[in-house]
Amino acid sequence: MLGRLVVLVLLLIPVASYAYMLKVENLTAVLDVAAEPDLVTEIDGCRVYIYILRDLNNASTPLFRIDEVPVIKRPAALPGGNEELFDIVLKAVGPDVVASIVVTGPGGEERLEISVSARNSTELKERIREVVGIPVFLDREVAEKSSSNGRGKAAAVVGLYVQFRDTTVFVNSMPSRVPEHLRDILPEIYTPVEIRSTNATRVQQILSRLEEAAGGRTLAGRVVLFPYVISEEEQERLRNAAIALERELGTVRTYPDGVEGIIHIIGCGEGPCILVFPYPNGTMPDVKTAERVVRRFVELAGVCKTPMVAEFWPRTGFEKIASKQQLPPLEPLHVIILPALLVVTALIIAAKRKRK
Amino acid sequence: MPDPQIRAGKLIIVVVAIIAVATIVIAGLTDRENPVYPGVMIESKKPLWFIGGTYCSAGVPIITTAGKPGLLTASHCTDPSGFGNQVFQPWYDFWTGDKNYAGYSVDWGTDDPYFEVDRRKPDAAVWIVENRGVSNRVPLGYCWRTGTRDPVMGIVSDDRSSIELPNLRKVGYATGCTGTAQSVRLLYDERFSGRIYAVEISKLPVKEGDSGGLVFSITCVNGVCGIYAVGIVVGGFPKGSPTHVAIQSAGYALSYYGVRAYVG
Repeated sequence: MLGRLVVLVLLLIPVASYAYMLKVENLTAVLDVAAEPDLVTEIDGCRVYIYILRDLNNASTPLFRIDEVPVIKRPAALPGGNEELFDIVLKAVGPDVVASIVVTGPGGEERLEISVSARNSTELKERIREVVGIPVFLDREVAEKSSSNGRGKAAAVVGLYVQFRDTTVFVNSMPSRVPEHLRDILPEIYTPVEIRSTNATRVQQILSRLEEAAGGRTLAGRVVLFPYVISEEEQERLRNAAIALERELGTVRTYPDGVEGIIHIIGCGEGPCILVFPYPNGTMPDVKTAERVVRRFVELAGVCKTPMVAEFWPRTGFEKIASKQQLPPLEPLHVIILPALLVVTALIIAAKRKRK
Repeated sequence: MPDPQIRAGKLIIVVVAIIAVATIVIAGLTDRENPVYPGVMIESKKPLWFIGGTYCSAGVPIITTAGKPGLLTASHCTDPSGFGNQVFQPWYDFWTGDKNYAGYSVDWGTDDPYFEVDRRKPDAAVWIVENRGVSNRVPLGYCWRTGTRDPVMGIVSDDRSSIELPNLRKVGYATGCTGTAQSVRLLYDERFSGRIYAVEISKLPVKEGDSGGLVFSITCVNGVCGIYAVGIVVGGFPKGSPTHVAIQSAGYALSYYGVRAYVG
């Protein structure tokens, strides 16, 4: 896996930034940009990185570095239009895709997903038309114009996705109407193709096929590599383990506006899974104690995948951020301001009359 | 009354007048607004009319199946019934003819997403707006883009445990518009009911009063670029000095209540 990642990285040579880019990020690399762990240990064949935080100021554990994952960028191009975009994608990863459709018409807007088999954008429109029985366009604005003025419904293909065993490719159709004040940031906010995967080799293959289908050009987009997938059932086991371990540790404290001392389970669906533990016994644990707590958690959960991150924080929990008091307190002020003004004014008037 | 007391009386009048002026807040999120829009201040969950309630912010604009407009807010900002079910905007005001009454909440959610036994319940409620209009336009003038009020165009999908978003912002009455132009990753926290994501607070500063406020991204989805609702602010962790903001997903909350986003 590492070797293949290196090859993938070498294929993407960082150069001076252009407007549109192909960006590749590997979430496992958060371990490279985070602080050194206090311990790296193996639990039932699973590697766990343990961090013990003294305080939360200037923390640099993985949870605080998740937005600093290195992004490898390569200058890329946008296709000429949606027809070309769908032609490229269908040639590279088709023909079996799921198309996202927006149907516009007198009754409003409706969204559908339709599984079709198409080798290019023309076939795509045709296959979808056979299913929905109305005109199909690749441009949303064109579809809306077609359906306006009582001309009946029309459909626009607004996206596609292709699901492989360990990889999903998402295609986001090119926007036709961009508000003027957003045009300068369009390269930041529009991603034509996104690939999410646990398999760097498959990603490499897909990128190569996309480039070939695009006539040697690199298509703009984003690749997110993550180390594993944790199923819903496994996440439920993690949650039950957290509940059980919280009871064993006795760390949970309840307050009117929140709770302290809980175990957080963060970002585990796609990994790396980040567990945040409170200090057991309210004091900063040594490495042995921290390891013992994490081993107990894994024992209770029966789930551990490499890499797993376990962070020990001086405080965990949750607090609501509604405000209970408006400053200044308004209801009492409203009640007293006017009468107070009247009373003082009356006193002054009375005093002045007395003086006369 | 001798002269010193007259002077003292005048001083009192001046001080009281200054306090009165100080309570008159700057136009915008903490003003009586019509139509109301994402980020405006509300007061609800009042035990009785003369007891202060809970002050929060308005979030995602919605439309019910019956065509009633409203805004999502946090469930812990309101009550399912009783006087605390009523919503006042910006706050209950004894002196106004209608007391600033602005509707009521439909609150099937939870005030406590950690202890909630029914994990389906989000910390979200629907404010059905009455006595006011509803705008789905986000006042981007409070953000970096001066002068524009952009409509919410849709909802960000929440089917993943990590969501990368460009231009993540939030609008709430306590801190106005905060956020970042950088790409930010939201991570799902399994420990809470509903569907709650966490993001570093340095990327999305919040304070007491921002609960319920709209979290959004400026992005392009399905061929349309603009504001997409991510969710509502519901809290922070850890308790005390939060390092992360907790966001209840908009898609989940809207689906739970069977309402749709007020878009376009």
